[in-house]
Amino acid sequence: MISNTSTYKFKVNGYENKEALIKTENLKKYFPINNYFLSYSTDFVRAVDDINLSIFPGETYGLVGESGSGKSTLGKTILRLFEATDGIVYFQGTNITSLKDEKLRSLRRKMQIIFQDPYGSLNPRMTVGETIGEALRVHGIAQGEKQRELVEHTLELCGMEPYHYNRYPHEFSGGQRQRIVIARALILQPVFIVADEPVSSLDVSIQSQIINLLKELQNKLGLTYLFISHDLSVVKHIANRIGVMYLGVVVEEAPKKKFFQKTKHPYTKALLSAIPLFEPSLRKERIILKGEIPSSVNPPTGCRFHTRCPHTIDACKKVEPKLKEVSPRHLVACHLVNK
Amino acid sequence: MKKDYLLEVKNLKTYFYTENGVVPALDGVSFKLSPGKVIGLVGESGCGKSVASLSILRLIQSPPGKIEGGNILFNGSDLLSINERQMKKIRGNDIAMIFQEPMTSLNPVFTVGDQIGEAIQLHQRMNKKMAQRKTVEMLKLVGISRAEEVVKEYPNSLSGGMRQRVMIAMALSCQPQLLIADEPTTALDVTIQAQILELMKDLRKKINMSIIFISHDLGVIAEMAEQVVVMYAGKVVEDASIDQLLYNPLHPYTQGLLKSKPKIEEEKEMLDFIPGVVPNLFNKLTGCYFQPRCVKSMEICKAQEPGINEVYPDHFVKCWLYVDSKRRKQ
Repeated sequence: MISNTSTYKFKVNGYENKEALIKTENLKKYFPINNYFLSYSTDFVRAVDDINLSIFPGETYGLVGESGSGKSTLGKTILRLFEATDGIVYFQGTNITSLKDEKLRSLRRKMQIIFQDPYGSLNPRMTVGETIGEALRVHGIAQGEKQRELVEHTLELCGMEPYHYNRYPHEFSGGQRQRIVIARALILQPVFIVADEPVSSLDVSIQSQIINLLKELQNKLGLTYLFISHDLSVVKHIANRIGVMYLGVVVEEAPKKKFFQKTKHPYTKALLSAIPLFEPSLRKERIILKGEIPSSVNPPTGCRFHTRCPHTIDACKKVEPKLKEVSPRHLVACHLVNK
Repeated sequence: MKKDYLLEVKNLKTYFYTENGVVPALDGVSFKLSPGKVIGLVGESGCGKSVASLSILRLIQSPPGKIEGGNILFNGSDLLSINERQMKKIRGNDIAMIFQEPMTSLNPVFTVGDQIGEAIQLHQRMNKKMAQRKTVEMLKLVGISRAEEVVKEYPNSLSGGMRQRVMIAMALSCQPQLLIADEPTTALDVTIQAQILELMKDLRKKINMSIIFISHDLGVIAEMAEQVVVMYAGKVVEDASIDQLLYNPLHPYTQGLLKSKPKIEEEKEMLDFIPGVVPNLFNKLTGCYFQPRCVKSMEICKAQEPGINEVYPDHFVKCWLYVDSKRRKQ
C-alpha cells in the first residue's frame, strides 16, 4: 500500500504550516468512449485533466465554470464517488486514493455531498426520517429512539421542524427538500462537504435562504466546503477562495477579493462581464466570446482557451500554459499574464 | 387609443381543472405592449408566467386547462374569439415563440433546414427551393457562420447555444410582429447567454418587433426590457418601467425579490430573503396572496384583496400600502 502518512505538510499559496484538509496532486479523471469496432477504448473524455488543488480547514472553495468544464467530476473524484484515472487525493494528510473496505467506509463519514436537484436526490418512498436516519443505521451509530433524536436535532439545525420526521418528500417545496438533503449530509457530522450547484434549481427568494443556511452551518460546525456553481454572483457571497475551470483544467485561482478586483485570465474576465447587472451605470463593455466550449475529447492544443480567446498569440496554440503565481495566492495559467 | 398597443391582455383567467381541484394559474392578468417594445414578465416558478404566454397563443392543453375569461387583443382583434383556423395563421406568422429548452423543442428526426423551411413554406407560400435559401439567410442572421452546412445537420449534432440560435431563426423566419421568449437563456451558460441576449437586442433593432421576455432572472430582464410586469401566484402585483421598478420598487414582493438576489456588484455577510414559500393555489386563499410572507402585512391584508392602482404615472401596484386609509374603509 502507498504510504499513508498523516504528517504531510503542504507549502502552497502562502498557507505555510497550515495543513490542507484536501489536496489533490495531478488528479486526472478520463471517461472512456466505447469504440464499436474494437474491444478497447481509443478516445477519452478528459473531464479532469491534471489538477493540483488545496482546500484548507474552515474555508469555502468556490469552483466555477461552464457546463462541461469538469467541475462536478472533480468534486466527485475527490470524494471517491469516481475512481481517479491518475493522481492522488489527500484528506487530512492521508492518501485516500486507494483506501478500501472498512477504512473507506469510515472516511465516507467525514465527507459528504449535496446535489443540485432536491427532487431527484430524495427517495419518494422513504420518509424524511428514514432518509436521514439511514446513514446512522448503516454506520452502526444509532438506532431506534437515539436515531430519531439525532435526526430531529439535525432537522432543527437545518431549519425544519421535528414533526417533519414522518413526512414524505413530495409534501415539501424545493427549498425545504434542499434543507432535508443538507440534513442528510450533516447527520454523520462530516468535516468536508461538496455542494454541487446546491441552489441552481431553486427560486431566487429561496436561493438566499439556503445560502444563508450553509453559511450559518459552517460557522456553527466548522465545516469546509467545496462549493461548485456556474453562478459567480452566488459564489461571491459564500466563497473565500475561487477557482475557475475550463475544459478540465483550472485557469485561475485567487482569494475572493483579488479574484474580483484583479482578474487576470481572459476567460475569467469574459465570465465576469457576461453577468447581467442591475445597475446600468456599472455596465462595462461586454466581452462576447466567440463560439462554444470545445469538446473535451479533443481539447485544443496549447492553451485550451485559445480558440475563443480575444488575445491569442502564436505561443498559445503550441504550449500549454502552467498555473503560476502572479501575486501571493493568485494563480493564473496564461502566457500573456506576467508578474 | 386602442391602436396604440400591439397587444392588450385584459383580465385574463386561465384555470386548470385537475383531480385534486381547480388551480387558478392566471387570475385576472392584464398588461399592454406597444409596438417595438420589450416587456418583461418576472416571477418565481408557479407564478403563471409561462401559462400567460401559452394562453396568448392559445396553446393551453385542454383538458385540464381552460381560458375562463378575459380578452387578448392583438392588433385590435380578440384572439379568444377567432376560430382555430385563423389562429393557426397567426401562430408562427404574426406571433412566434421561443421555449426554454432548446434540447427538447427541436424535432430530432428532421434536419435543421427541414424544420425552419417548413414554417417558411407554410406561412410565406414559398416553394421548397426558395424556403431553403431563406433558411440559410435566417441562420446567417442569427450568427451561425457555417449556415450552409448546419441546414443539413440534425439537432443532436448542435450544442445548446447553437440550438437556441436555430430556435430563434425559426421563430423569426416569418418576421413576426410579436416574439414571446419564455426563459430563452435559462438553460445556457453565462458566456452563451451573453451571446444570445446580444443577438436578440441586435435583431430587435433590425426587424422592429415587440418581445414578451419571460424570465425569473431580474438581471436579464433589467438588460432586455423597457417595462416589467411582476407576477405572484397568478396575479400581477406590480407593473412599471424598468427604471421605476429597479430604483423605486413599491410592492413588498418586488422589494424582496430585488434584495434577495445575490448581486455581483456588492457583497453581504448574510443575504436578504423572503420568508416562507409560494402559496399552494389548490387552497382557497383570501386577502392578499402575498400577505403570509409579507413583512409589512396589516390587518386589512388578511381580510380583503387589494386592487391594482396607478400610484405614479404608468406605475401600477397591487398593495394596500399605497391606498390611503379613507379609501381602505370603503
